Amino acid sequence: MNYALSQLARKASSLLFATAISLGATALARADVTLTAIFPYTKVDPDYARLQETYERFHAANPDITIKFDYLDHDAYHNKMQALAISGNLPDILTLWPGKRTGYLTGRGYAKDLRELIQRDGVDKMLRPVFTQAQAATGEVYEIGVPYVNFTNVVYVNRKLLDQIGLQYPKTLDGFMGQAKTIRAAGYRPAVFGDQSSWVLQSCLLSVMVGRLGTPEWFANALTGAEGAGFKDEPFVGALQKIKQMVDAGLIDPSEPSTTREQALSAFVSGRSVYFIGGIWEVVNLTSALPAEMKDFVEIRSLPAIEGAALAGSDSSSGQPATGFGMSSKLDDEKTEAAWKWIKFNLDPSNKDIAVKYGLLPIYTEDVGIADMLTDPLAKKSYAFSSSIAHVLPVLDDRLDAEGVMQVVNAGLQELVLGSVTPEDLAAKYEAWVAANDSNRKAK
Amino acid sequence: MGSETRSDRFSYALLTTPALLIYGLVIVVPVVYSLVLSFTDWAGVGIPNFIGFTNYVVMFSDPIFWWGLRNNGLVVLVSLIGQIPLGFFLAYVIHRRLVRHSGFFEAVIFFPALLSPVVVALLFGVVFAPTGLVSQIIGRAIGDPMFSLTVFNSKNTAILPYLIVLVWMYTGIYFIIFLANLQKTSPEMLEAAVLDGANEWNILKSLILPQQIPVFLTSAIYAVAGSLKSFEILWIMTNGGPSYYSNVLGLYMIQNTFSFYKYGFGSAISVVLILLSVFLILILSAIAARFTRRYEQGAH
Repeated sequence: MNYALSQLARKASSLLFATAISLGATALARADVTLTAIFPYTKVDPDYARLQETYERFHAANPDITIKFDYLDHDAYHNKMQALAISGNLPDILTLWPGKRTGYLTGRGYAKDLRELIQRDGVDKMLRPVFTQAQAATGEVYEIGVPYVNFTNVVYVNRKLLDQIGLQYPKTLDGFMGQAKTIRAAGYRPAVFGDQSSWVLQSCLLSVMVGRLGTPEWFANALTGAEGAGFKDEPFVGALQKIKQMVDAGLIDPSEPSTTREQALSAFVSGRSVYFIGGIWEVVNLTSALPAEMKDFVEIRSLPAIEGAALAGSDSSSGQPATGFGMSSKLDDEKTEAAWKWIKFNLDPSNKDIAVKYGLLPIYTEDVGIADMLTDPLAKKSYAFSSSIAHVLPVLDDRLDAEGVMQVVNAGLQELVLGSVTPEDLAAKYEAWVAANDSNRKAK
Repeated sequence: MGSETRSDRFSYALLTTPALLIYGLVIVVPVVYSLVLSFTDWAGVGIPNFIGFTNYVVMFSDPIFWWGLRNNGLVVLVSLIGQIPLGFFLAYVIHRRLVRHSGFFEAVIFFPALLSPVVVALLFGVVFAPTGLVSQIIGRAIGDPMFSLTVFNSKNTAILPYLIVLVWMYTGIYFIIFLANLQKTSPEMLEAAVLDGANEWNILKSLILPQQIPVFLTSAIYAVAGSLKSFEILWIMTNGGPSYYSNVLGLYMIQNTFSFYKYGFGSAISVVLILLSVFLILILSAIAARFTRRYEQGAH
């Protein structure tokens, strides 16, 4: 009996030992996945604090995953990433732009396509379509991060001035143009945006007009030239014509191409201008620049409806998902899963408090209670605006090659405002450039 | 004698080799590298393809290049016929004590050259903005609060504010260079000239100017090289706009290289800038040599 017991004990201890070794080996295999990552900001940037807080929470929930961070200022980040890509030393986690800004990585096979992972885990179900839309002509999705849209068309309204002049926020673009004379007669500038850096008019006004006149489907065709669509079509020419009409009506002043964003914002904040056209990011500037009492009567609106447009309402704005995370295409399965955990953690609504704390207002398919967390009147209006936008329209410089947008469209828009080019000529010039050079057409 | 020469040569080589190596690494290698890159389509990543003279053909058929070249020409002109003569004139006035409180004027004239280009660009960006200081002064004078400056609205005048800033900022540099050289002029010689009945114009024309020819040449070379490569003030002041009305080649190069990832094309622009610089400096050297010869012949 004793012999049998000791034999049993020996067997049991052997089994325990084997189990311990097996568990230890498994634990060893799982432990200490270390990822590398570089972020496009420095330690003085608010994004740094947001990232640290997110990582602390992530690491507490996933102690087996360690991320080693490196930080570089915006331009230095892009320069270093190019050098790292060439030398085959890219970090595991990449900070990527949804459009062309990191095209040197996404367009050359350095970033992993996330579509399989997104569908596998059903991430797309909790997000609005704009976050998982194609980021390349062939449908790939390379980056996904905090579900926050940078809406590029927002009309900031000084309602107090409007009331004083006896006007209402217009329902249509024609009504908007019709107000210019009255506003000027009252001694105010109608609408300012400051286009000296040349991207503003395109990003904050032309894009939404092209999207509404043509629909995102037409734009997708124009990008690749599918079904004979192109930038000589009515939506693009029509949008340019509308801008010319806005100049002729006095709503857009010929001085805008020589005015900086800061000067335009200053004109609005100091009550010299009734409308300020910009992106949703201006909320941050306005929050700090506006006196407390003025926050109550500054409204955040989308561009009034364009009569006869394919998207006739005003519930659309141009925009792009915020910068987010992707991963190097060279990662093995283990590192891929670890990096994907980090990306999902940033997306998870349970971490929304960190995003809100640092001024980001994520939007999901369902209400996750963000509005209840806000106290600042402008933040409330900003979130209400973001949630009210049913159609997120493409931003030209996000989808088309920078060279054509900057050298032809942005420069051409400034000439259009100054009256030295016609809408038709500018559209023809751009279509010729896209047909000959744009990577979307070449990838068709 | 022979061994001394060898020793001298060895000493020269020993002393100059480090400098030559550094110069070669810092200047010659990048220039040659740029030249090689200019014949490729390198995008900053990937392997560059040799594309012959395509970058140069595209560049010479691009109106933005020619507009930048025109503006660069104006910048060079303003430097050569604006900053340098004005710098010399002011130095001469101060040196000859033709005004009182010369110390104060020295400080005032040189002060802009001490400022950071970024600060200067921001300052003048506000001064010349459509709703900026100049506009507000004019607006108040004519009783139109909506008045805005239209200097940037025209292709021909958009570069003007930048040229004004260049004269304001860099004249002080040439002023100091000329002042330092004028102080080398022998006071006895000037005194003798005055005793011989020379008036201020005679002193300037026959004594001072001929002695300053090498200084003019050095200043002109400095001005040409600086004018062709400078863009930072313009970048902040106007971003080369509106449209490309105030663009210069330096900015055109930066935009193509770093915004459009056309490193090969950007290199081709830099090669053109180097060639242009060398060409202008050779012309200036030839002109200066001719003046010097004429002066020496006249002196004999």
